[in-house]
Amino acid sequence: MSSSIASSSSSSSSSSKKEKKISLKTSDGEVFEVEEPVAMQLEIVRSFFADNEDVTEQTVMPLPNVSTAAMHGILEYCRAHEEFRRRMPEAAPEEEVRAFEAGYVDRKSNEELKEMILAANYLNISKLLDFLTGVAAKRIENKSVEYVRAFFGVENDFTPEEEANLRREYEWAFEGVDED
Amino acid sequence: MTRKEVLAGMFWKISFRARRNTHTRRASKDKDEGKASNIGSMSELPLAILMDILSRLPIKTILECKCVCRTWFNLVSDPYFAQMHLARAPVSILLLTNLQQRSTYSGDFLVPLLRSNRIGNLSADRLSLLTSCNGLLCLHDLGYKKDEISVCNPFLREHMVLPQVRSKRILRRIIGFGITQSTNQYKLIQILNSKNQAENSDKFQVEIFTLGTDMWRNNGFLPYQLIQPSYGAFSHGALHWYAHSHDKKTLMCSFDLENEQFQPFPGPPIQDHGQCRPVNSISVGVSGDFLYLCDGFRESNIDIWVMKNYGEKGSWTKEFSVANPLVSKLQRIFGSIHILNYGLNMNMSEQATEDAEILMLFGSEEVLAYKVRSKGVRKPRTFSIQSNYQAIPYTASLVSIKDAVMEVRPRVKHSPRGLLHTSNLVSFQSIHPT
Repeated sequence: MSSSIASSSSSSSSSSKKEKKISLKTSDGEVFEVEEPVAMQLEIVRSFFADNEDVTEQTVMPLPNVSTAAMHGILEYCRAHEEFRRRMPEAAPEEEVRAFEAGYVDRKSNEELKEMILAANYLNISKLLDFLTGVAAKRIENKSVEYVRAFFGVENDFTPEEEANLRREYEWAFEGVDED
Repeated sequence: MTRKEVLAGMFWKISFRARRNTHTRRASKDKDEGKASNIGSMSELPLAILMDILSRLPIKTILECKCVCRTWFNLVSDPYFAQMHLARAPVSILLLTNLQQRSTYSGDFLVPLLRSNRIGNLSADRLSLLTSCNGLLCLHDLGYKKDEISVCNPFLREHMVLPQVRSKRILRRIIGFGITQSTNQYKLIQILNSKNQAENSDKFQVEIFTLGTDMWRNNGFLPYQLIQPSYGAFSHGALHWYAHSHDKKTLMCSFDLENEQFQPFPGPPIQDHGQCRPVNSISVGVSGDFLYLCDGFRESNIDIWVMKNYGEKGSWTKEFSVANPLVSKLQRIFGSIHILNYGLNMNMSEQATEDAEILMLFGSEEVLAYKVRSKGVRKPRTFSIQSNYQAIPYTASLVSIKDAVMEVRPRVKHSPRGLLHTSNLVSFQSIHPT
């Protein structure tokens, strides 16, 4: 009864039968066939399948708040971590994980980062959300106020006097910030 | 990055380039990201996520963030945000240096501190760092005609002098600083005895000060003789020491800050050497939320015991043994060993692939990094070039003395008397060991 896509995509049908796949549908209508252990990292998916008795393996779970682009990013991360876990169930190979995470996030623009933060939040993948908010923080660390405002799209609503006073109060914090 | 590289970065100093014109609006070329078009794309994040991101920043950037807009100012000034930040903030070493050094080491991250006009100046050369809790620092100022204990948050520039009865005939010493678990009250405890009987009396009177009140309260006599020279190790709402009981047995004891009682505390299974134990051969501390005990009875090595589950006697584990003559010598000189970076993710076993490096501060002066497997030590660079400093383990925080005081005195609308904003005199330098 396992998904036909799963068995057809694999050359060895005996092993592929064991690998269950779960279908997830993104906001723009694309259906992702995701290996079960990877999909179960998405807390929202895990509880959907755990709490609903009438869902079957054929059920396509709709994820209306996740775009296809964000889903690609999310799955890349979750698959890599599943792979680490499978190879070293006791303790993750820290160096490799760090190397993967650094490369993974380097390629992401701020826009993509935001999309993925929102998706990770909705899908309830705490480990990924934790990682991504950390990345966002690194991108504004020691930046100027102007840079931070632009980064988050925040409008300054202080009067010039108020802002000057605040800057004076915490003068040392404004020394030596990175160039924008 | 390898573990080794991470550890080597422990003494990373926040770079400080004295440029004043950083805020002139240059065209945002965005060299770091190389993507100018990205700017603005992080807008409309839910508030909870925004707070999560901001709480991961170092204090310096957070204080800058106060100037972003009114909403952010309120968000970042909120005591709830301070707690969020504190939960993530790394333990660092706070250095107190004098002004001359500030110019010499302009490459460091320095927080100017404290000069008040009404209370009097802090005397840079006679100021000592006593202890700290949640980013609040307890200071002793022994300046000209002065003998003051104060609490301050150097990052928020808040400073409050504590009331003290000044008498030449009474010796007093702060022995601990902590916060109660359920009521969130900060309390300091000190011990007193009068000079004339100091020689033959080991009776110390205990006094407690709750931040937000205006006097020290008498709490009876100290039931033990504390043999550990440093401040009580604060964890789980209590302070912990190693002590002699009246029948000269050694034991661990704790002082619960909520019910204000001293009591015996389950200690590790180490031998009771009673009076034979050399001075400065034992030290209790907290690192990474774990209570630890350094037993240096045998001079050849120091056994490091860790209490894996707080309060559970059976969970004391001999985690590793330090076998290095320099470390043993420093323990005998200074008594207290602060371990700064112990954590559960550290693999201490002989079979570990990477050699764990333990960062130790002895007294308030010597800092060493000890390699658990190879048993070698190195002196971190920052400390080998500095001289004349005092250091204590410290977690830089946004915890406000005003808020701490309000917990106790909610009716008081204005800032309490004695809480003053101040200007430069002494420099603090915070070095983040992560």
